[in-house]
Amino acid sequence: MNEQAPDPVLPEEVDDEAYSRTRGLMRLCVLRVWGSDRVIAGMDPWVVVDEAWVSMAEKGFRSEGPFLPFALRVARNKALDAKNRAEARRRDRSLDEPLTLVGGDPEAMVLADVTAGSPGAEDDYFSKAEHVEAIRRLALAEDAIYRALSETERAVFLAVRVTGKSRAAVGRELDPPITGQRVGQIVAAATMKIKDHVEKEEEV
Amino acid sequence: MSASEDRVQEALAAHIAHLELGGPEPDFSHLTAEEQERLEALIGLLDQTEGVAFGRGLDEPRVGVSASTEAGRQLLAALSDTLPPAARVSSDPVMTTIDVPGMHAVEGWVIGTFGGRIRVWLLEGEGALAASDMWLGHLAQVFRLLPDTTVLALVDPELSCLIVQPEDCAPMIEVPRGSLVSRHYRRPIQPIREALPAFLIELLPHWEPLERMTERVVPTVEVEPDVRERAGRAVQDQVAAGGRARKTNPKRKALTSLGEKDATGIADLVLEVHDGRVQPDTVEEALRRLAGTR
Repeated sequence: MNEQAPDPVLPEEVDDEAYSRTRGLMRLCVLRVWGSDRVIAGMDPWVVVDEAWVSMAEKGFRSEGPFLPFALRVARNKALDAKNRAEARRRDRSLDEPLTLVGGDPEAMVLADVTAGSPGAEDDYFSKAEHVEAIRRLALAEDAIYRALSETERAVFLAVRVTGKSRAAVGRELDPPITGQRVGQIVAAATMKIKDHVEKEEEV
Repeated sequence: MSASEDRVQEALAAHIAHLELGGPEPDFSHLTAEEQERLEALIGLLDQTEGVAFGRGLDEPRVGVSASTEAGRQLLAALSDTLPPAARVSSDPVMTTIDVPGMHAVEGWVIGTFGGRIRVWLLEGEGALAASDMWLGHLAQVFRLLPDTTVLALVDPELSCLIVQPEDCAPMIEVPRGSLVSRHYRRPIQPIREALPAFLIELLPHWEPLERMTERVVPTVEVEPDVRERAGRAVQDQVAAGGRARKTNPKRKALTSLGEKDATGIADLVLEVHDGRVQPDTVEEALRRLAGTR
């Protein structure tokens, strides 16, 4: 369902291939916004991509300027919304609920003010080419993680750089166990492989 | 790997250790300018990718989804036949964390769709759905704890399926009568091969093709002849009305004296309003001026 065009009238430059590619980049955009925040643990990025896609479809995919930056911007804002909603659920209260601050700050604040981002924030994000390029590079990096790295390299890289585990902890979990220093070397080697893959693909 | 690559890798490993342990920054002065440039690019890549949950939501082939029971395998086969080819099906990791008294789910899967997720839970024991009325109140917690859940499809080993929606789990005020209706299942128990496709047809949005925006030529309407004809007819009607009035009635003289000049004046005024040269709220004043010139 997610990779199948639901018969919308897409912009002229978006064919079936671009549809899949755009949604793939939107997914990475969502993941980048979410980061390793534990609040959104278990949430499916495709749900947000679908939500963003439906939102664009409802408006006939009309965008000011090129479609891809627009789609990434919508995905980014929907990801922020999802993160805010998750935060509100975690605290079991409304985003509009006033916060009681220590010292009784006269400036009334609501939960939405202190959660990450805000709906519709940074409308012009992705207006710069480098923002879009960063997402493209992220997609290439993910491609490299699953195509260029060995299973051990992938597991170690993701555990250290994504999950945030210490090198020593990761080393202890391996069979046979290895030192934290060796784990650091594996992460460094994996990073170089990813970089090489990204550069090679960018040349193509 | 060349000696240069070795040096860069070693420096990067030192940087990674520094990221974890803190302390003074490692000294990279022994690297050549080219090696330092390469190291900076690698550190940039590390920064860009930090914390990004790579792999989450990556499409996995459906063959990778497995079942541990025979009924589960039959259910997966039914899903495979029923769902669109690109639908994402994955194991449901949270099924075991939710306890519904009297309901025993043995396996669960999640189907990713537009507008949320469908959780498919396989129940233990044939005819397990017969006890479904007892669970309804407790099933509300599934939607509360897993708010991305659109529906819960409870399936017994004979592949009979009961689709539960959030609104089933709470009493509701019925419109338009306004009466309170107790919680109840809105959908019948059906074979999963019928129940799920029927629900998906409702769930998945269908977009009618939008009409392309084209520059249309708006047909021009010739207003003036119509306005002049109607003004002429209105004046003739007033003249006729004046003719029918008594001779002593002052209106008789006033109305019968109207003529082509008056019709032209009124038509001009209407056209000026149409063109925007005269505002509608000044029409009365303009009519007074017209009458004053007679």
